[in-house]
Amino acid sequence: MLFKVDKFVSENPFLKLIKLANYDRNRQFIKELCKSCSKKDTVIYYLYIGEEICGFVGISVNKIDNIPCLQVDYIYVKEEYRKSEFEELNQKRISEFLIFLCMEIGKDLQSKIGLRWLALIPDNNELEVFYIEYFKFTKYKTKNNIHILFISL
Amino acid sequence: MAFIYKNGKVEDLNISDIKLPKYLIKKIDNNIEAKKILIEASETIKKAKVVYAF
Repeated sequence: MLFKVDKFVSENPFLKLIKLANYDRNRQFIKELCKSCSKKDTVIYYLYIGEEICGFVGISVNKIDNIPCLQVDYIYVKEEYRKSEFEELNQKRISEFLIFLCMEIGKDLQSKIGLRWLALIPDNNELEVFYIEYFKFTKYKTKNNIHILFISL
Repeated sequence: MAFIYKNGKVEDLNISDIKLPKYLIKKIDNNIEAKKILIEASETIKKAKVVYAF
């Protein structure tokens, strides 16, 4: 199986990505992410086999409390690919590979423009626990009950 | 841009003006386990048999 990675920059890949999602909630996230990509606010990196996109992650740069962060805007893996680990991805799941890719991009940017943390807002409690236990993110809960996870690059 | 799902709709979420407590900033910066994960991330990206089309 040959995995490839490519990216969408300053375009709206809505029609290419929307078909990956089965639920309205995910479709809404994808719609907003694609709008952000078309405005050049977000770059979407996607992993694919042949013509099929298996998963993607949208990232942008943000300052949080004046600290420069690479922010994971949204990450999505097609349902049929979620549970499997792939030998080609160093025995990692696609979501793990995509987060690792974000970390590598963050480290690369850090050496060019200055960047301190990777930040993400988990979509649900189950994912939050996974990110904290597996990737060692540190959680901050805001007064408005928004959970943000950080890891130093 | 961050997004949040609220009352059945996905909305933009501005998190730039959030104030983080100093203890948390230190905790994040000094997270030793996180540094190991970054090494693992780097090794995984190097070892993965993936073609980059950009």
